[in-house]
Amino acid sequence: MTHPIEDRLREAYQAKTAQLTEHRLDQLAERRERGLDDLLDGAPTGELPVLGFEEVPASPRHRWIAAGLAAAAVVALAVGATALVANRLDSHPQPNPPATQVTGPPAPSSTPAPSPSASRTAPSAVPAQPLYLPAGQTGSRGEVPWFVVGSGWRLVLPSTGAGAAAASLYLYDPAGGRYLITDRLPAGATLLAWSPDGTRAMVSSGSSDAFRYQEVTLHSGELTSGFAAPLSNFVSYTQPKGLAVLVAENPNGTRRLVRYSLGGHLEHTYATELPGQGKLYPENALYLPDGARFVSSLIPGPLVLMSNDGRLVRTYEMPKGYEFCIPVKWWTETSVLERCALPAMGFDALYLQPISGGAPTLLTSEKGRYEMGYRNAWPISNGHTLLENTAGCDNGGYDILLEDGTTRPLRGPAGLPSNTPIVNVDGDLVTFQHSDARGCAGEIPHYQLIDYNLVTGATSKLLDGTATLASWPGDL
Amino acid sequence: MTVFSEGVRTPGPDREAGEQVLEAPVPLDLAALYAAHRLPLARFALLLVDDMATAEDVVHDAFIALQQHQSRLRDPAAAVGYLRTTVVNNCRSVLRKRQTVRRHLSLVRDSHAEAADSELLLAATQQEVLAALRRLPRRQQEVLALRYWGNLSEAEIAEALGISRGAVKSNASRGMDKLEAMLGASR
Repeated sequence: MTHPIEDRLREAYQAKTAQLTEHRLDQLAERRERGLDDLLDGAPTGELPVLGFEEVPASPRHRWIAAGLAAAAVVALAVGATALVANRLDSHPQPNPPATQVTGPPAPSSTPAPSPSASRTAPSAVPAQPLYLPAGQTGSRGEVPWFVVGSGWRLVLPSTGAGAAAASLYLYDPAGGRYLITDRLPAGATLLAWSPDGTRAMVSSGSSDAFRYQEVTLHSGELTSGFAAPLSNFVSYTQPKGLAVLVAENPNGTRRLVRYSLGGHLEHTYATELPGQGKLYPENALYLPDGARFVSSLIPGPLVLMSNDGRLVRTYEMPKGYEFCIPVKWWTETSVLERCALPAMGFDALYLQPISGGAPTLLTSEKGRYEMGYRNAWPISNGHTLLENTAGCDNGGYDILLEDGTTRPLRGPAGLPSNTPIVNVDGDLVTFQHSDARGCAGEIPHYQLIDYNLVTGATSKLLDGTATLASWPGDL
Repeated sequence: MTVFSEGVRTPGPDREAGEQVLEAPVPLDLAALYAAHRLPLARFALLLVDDMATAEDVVHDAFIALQQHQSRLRDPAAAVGYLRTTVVNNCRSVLRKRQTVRRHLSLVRDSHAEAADSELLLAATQQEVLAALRRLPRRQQEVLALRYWGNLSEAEIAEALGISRGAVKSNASRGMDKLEAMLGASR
């Protein structure tokens, strides 16, 4: 005899388990392996993961067995061997970096918790790879070797000039070859982010009072109709798949954080002010990998941990003497890079905040060569850290933080001024925006985007003109 | 789900009719097992531990255990049963540790916090059922998951959980009655 609620139970089980796919399992397995690598390599693992026991890596004994099983599975499936393994292991499961705008200093990115090894193993040198196109060559979407797309790959949307009929989106491989995904984007479109599952790109177009968010499905090149959110800024995809977006908007003059479905349904409006705490800063949010909470901040005030439904989960400590801090990006799986400001003094400093709580630590003890302090940082595979040091009118420069805590100015590509803006960082590969004019006033007539490998020193021109870029989700 | 309840199908060499095939133990095709059963086992584990990363981990551990102990398996067809039991045991172990950690540490994780994405994927009625399931005793949750998601027989469930068939029947019945009461009361 069938129990009255049997059908409901089966349906709920089906819905719940359908969320776990082969692809998601692969991602989780990769992440676990990375955790093991960190343990074995002596990488820092001292902080208590906020996610508790679920996130504690399995014991090292698993590693060789896992490798054996994985290898057996790969061999059994006869999937393109070396290239696949190399790239799959180098990719990261839960990515979400917003694209970087080239028309100003690099914006804070909101990459979801990458593992330390992920950030250190991003492409420092591109090995000979028959699946990559030669640098400068353009292929079609149908030629993309999707199964190796991962860490080191970038989406690039070149800016269109006045009068252009449409914009194009390209997928660049780590060797500098590119594939045309679509040439039918609205003129003036900008790239905002690569979806966490790696299958879509979020673009925006239109003027600020008629702003439209649309998605491109990378495999097909199709563009969704999207939705309009005037006077808004894209903040982040939700995690873990990117089935919704956070947007900062001010429909009534009050800036607020909201969550829209990809079809434009308003799912949640977050409070502009948290009772007894302060105002919620709506422009930045860093999702935890589980997608249930995100790190935001109070203005003025410290970082806070918020639940999806808008509850304040935790208030973090603020470094003494600062007025407010904002989350910049995940630094490790257990710590967030935050930028703390002292407006009265006119400079920023970078701190690392353990996500499980406790006092933040200063990333670099120096204010830097320029008066406005440090704005952003990126780990390099050689153990050093790239620092963005800012000054007024888009001036500033870049420093390398050495392991002994000292800094030195970045020696970029020969011929480029030391304060050339960086518009994207992907592992060791930085993209400089070179122009022949800088400063507060005047138009900038010519741009070039130049790729430069911080470790090998290799330089290549990405393209003439400007563009918005998005790194493979999870790459720093 | 049928895959979940199927036995191992280890491909073997072609043989002539009547040929002796039982003289030597048949080695397990771990790669085939892994390919066929990793996902259904992980989904089953997800129903017990409610967390994808943990589900993946316990299934991974189960395959490791199988690899280590495969020489003790007299019948390769028993491998799936072995895996299923190991997954149940690993899930129980995880849940025990989880309780201990929650007792001793102040974690910021909300209990059963769902991702924004998950909210989109699950209808309200399905969330209601899953929330009610989480309020059942662990044994009843296990029995119901194996019965109504895994489509296992009472005998198979009894073997997987190490309990009698009578206990399977009573746990299933009580669990369903409680569920009905909870869901009925919430209507």
